[in-house]
Amino acid sequence: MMEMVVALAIFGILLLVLTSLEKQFVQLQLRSRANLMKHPETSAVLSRARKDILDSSGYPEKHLDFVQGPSVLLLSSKDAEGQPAVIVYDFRTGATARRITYSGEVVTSEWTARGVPRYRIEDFEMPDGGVAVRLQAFDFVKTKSGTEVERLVLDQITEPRAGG
Amino acid sequence: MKSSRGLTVVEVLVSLLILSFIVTTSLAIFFDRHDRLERAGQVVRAYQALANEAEVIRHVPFIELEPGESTTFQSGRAILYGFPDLETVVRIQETSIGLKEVLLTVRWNRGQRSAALTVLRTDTGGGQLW
Repeated sequence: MMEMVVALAIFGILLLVLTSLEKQFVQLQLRSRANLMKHPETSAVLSRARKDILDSSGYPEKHLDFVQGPSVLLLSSKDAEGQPAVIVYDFRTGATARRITYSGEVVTSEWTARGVPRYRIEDFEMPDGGVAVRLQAFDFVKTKSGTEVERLVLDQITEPRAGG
Repeated sequence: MKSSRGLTVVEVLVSLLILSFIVTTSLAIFFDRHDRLERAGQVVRAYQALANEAEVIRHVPFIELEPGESTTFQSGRAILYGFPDLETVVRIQETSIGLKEVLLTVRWNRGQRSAALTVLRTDTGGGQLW
């Protein structure tokens, strides 16, 4: 009888540990801004975009079917050989982020990140009159009541350094 | 003859004591980890806000950087949503002729937590360094 009581008590303690860990995990999911379990490539997109914006020399209004807007970022840049290039960040699908490099109308490289939060692009006017790119990422987070709310998880302001 | 005697009360009590010590220590570590993760997330967001404000400060004309203190982040504070007792400070000092130090600070949790970034600006005569 005693052995059974002790065994059940130990089992109960283990269950307590497991449930408290699970509770913590759920709380962490609720509180954390960028859900990196769901969006593993978030930082890859941000770092590439930051480098591309720093190296760019302007923002073309349009390139082929792409039009500059809240979900499409167009950057004038140069390729590895120093030839003019246009870099396109396409966030229109929501679930993916595409980076396409064009030399004229020819695609020279394409990279797609899957599992990303929803990105939004805004222009941000600097005090000296320059225009920076404000790249924001939004995640949908479940609240305790079960409803999904949109939450700002990343915010990055970058202005080109190339100086034309 | 093989002894069939069980454990004494003292042995059982000592075992339970050791077991409860291990369990309580493990739980304390896990709860502490939760708090640390939350604090780390806040620090990451605080530095995002600081980096954005530093980017803006780099583009303020040198002559317009008036020495003094203000609480406004021109880049906004949306990313700092949910910080308890949030306070932002921009302090500008002219440390020598042609050199200004801009200290950007984010404080929260009644000043118990903070993150700061210093931007040094020099008078380049109006042009940019890049």
